[in-house]
Amino acid sequence: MTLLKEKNIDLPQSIISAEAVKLAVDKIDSLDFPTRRTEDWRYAKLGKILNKKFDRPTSNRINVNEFLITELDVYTVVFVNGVFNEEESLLPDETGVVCKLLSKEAGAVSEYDRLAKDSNEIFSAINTAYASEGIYLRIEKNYKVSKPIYILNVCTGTQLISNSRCLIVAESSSEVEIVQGFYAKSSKENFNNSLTEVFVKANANVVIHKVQNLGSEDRQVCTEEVHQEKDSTFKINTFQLGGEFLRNGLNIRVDGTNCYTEMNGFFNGKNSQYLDNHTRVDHLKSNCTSSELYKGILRDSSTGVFNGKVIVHQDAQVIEAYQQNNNVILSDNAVMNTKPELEIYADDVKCSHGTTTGQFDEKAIFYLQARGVSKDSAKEMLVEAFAEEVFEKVENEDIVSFIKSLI
Amino acid sequence: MKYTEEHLKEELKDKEYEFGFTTEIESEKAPNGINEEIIRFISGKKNEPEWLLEYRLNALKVWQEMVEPEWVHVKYQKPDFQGISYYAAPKKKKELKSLDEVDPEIRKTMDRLGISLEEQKKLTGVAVDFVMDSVSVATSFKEKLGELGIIFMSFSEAVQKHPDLVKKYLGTVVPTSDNFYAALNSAVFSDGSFCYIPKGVRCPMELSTYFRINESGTGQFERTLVVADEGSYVSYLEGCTAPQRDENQLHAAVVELIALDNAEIKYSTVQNWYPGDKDGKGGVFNFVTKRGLCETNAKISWTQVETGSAVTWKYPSCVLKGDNSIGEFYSVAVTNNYQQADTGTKMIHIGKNTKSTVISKGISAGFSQNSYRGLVKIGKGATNARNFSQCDSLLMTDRCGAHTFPYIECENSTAQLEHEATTSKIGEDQIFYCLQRGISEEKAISLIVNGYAKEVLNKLPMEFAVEAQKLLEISLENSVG
Repeated sequence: MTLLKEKNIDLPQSIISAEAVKLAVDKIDSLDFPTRRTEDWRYAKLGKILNKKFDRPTSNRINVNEFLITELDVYTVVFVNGVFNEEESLLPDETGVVCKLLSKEAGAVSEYDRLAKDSNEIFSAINTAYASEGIYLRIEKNYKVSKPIYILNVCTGTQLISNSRCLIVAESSSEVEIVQGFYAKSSKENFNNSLTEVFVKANANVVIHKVQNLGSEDRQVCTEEVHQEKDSTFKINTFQLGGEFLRNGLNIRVDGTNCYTEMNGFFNGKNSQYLDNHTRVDHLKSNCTSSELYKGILRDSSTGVFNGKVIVHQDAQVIEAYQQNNNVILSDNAVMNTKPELEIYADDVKCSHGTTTGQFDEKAIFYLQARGVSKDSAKEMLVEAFAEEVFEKVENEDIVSFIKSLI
Repeated sequence: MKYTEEHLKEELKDKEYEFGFTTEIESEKAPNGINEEIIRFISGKKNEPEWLLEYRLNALKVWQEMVEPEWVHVKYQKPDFQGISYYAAPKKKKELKSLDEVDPEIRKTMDRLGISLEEQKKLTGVAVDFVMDSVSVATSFKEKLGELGIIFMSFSEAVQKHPDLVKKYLGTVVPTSDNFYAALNSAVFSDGSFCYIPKGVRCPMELSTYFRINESGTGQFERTLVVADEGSYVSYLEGCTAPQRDENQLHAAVVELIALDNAEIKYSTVQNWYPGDKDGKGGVFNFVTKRGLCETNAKISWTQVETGSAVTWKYPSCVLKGDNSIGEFYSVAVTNNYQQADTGTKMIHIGKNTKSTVISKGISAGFSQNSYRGLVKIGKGATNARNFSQCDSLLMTDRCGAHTFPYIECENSTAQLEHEATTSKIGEDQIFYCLQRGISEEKAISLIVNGYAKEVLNKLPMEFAVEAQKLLEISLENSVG
């Protein structure tokens, strides 16, 4: 990514003020790109993104019908290579929802970049400096959005870099369901750098379904920074399907009492895919529960990484935190690296994590074979059953069948 | 003829001569700091062969290019490596006239551990008359071991007497460049133990540094090498439950185990170095590299009870190189006050049908931090590898921490890996249950903690297990508020 480290390239029309851009650029200069010795990136095949040259995308109008969820009535916000596409979008027009473009609003929104600016992740700084467009959603107090909001990001073209940006503010006691989709259309070796900030205020309820189904040569670094206030609920379901290099960083700060946090994920590795999920939950206040379930299938020569971190800070008592990661390796060339971490500084807690890596039960396969099912279809049936536990966590049936249709 | 004290004194005189070089050097001390000259000085003093000097010098070069690791989840004032004397003759402890002069705290603990008076004297450095029993026991053990062809002696002695064996195995499991402290140890190691069990021999007793006279003061950079030849078995004990005061703040030991085809090594450690005072001042830094290599059908089992040291940094590991080899790790780590422990294991599966088990029980009290850090790696060729890991943590106060950092890396589709961990405090209902039955709170806690650690304590040799159990009780005294 020589493009990003070069100092003399002209910056695009950014969302934020010139000074803020300068701060972000200085930060990029002060930070190094991760290497294999960087603990959080130790398994990453960084060559896929770091030693490439990417171009800036030009606006591109394409038809996105194929990515719509036909059965489901949703609002849609469409971005192509990080550029807003008005014709294809159907923005929410409800009284309780503010839905605007960040290029017009960011300067006026105090929440913008508030969570990401403290991060020491270079990709977040790059996003802040270079993102030229994004979506800003604010759900007003006590308002429940009538239908899900579908944010589509489509990559197209060859060796382009795009920055996707999203800011979601759920005011107290509001409720919203969001589908965030990342897709590719005749896309080759593109790199998408996505950053989403979510504020879940008191007693609010936010659900996000994230679908990553990029082209077989595309790369993506996807970061979420979430801040939860008291009595709130935040739930995120991640489906990592297509893309050569997908790296997710999900950071949740639970900064209020009586919160509920749920993270579910399913990743399906094929060919030489690299699928990486890093999650981190910081429990800062008492009486909270967090639950995490990630399941993965690894075929061919794919590589999977799971790193879940739960940190219970000293003043957070009566915390229940559960973390579960199960992986199935279906090929001798596939690799799974998992690291479920617990850091506990309080004593009145119930925390557990469990992880397994293995393969399907020979007996189960035999059972199906004995009933005339070929070995390969038996395995596929078991894959489906294995993934079902994650799909069960998604309450919206239409979204489930949409995601299943992508696999 | 009756065996009298005179005979014994005669015998010991010979022994003195045997170990002569250790007494000789007592008056000498190398200047502080570490450089090539010092290494040559140490090697020369020990009358070491050329290859060992080369080995040390090479290690020094490697060490100088390394940086001290930062990733460990502990905080401490880094030692000043140029401020240490790397060759001090074993500090002659002030001889005390009677047990009354010993620190009453230590004596109290020893009494409670059930350590005999004679042993107490030995451990605290009270001038002991020749204690008929223990010495003759030691010598008869040596004879018996000699008959079987078992070599068990100090490292320096082994370098002189069995240079071929030492040369063949030294550094094969823990290479010089392995890590910062292993490199430092390779350059300056003072002494340690060497043990060789010949083919097909089953060592009839627990080998322990305990029984070895002339072995105190092996120093802060200890080197242990245990080689079990084909089909042999040995159980090796290290350390003891008695609290040990030590002047040296930094301990960087290296332990290498080699289990050849069909051999089995069981290595048990009880570590109870000075943990510092209640405010976290002082205490030993224990930075140890321990690793074992298993050939075909071999088995290595590590058991450790860690209660001492201000900072512990230790990962006894198994390299399961041969097919069907087995690695085990059982650990209880207790931290209290301001102690910090970052301990765990590495199980590297290379051969087919290899199995490993990891059971780690952490107990943190006071303001202490207790981390489990482990790696299970299944290589591409490790078909049908199997691992089970369990690491539980028990929290005693609201100001301590318990952390788990397990790394699980799998490159083979036939491997079965399981890992589970829980963190919780002692259940109030459990304590209530005991209180209701007339058991005091203190007793109830020790009961629960012992039950919690049972799985590991059971793996220790019997006499040790009893002491370790008491040790847990003492370490956690007054820890629940």
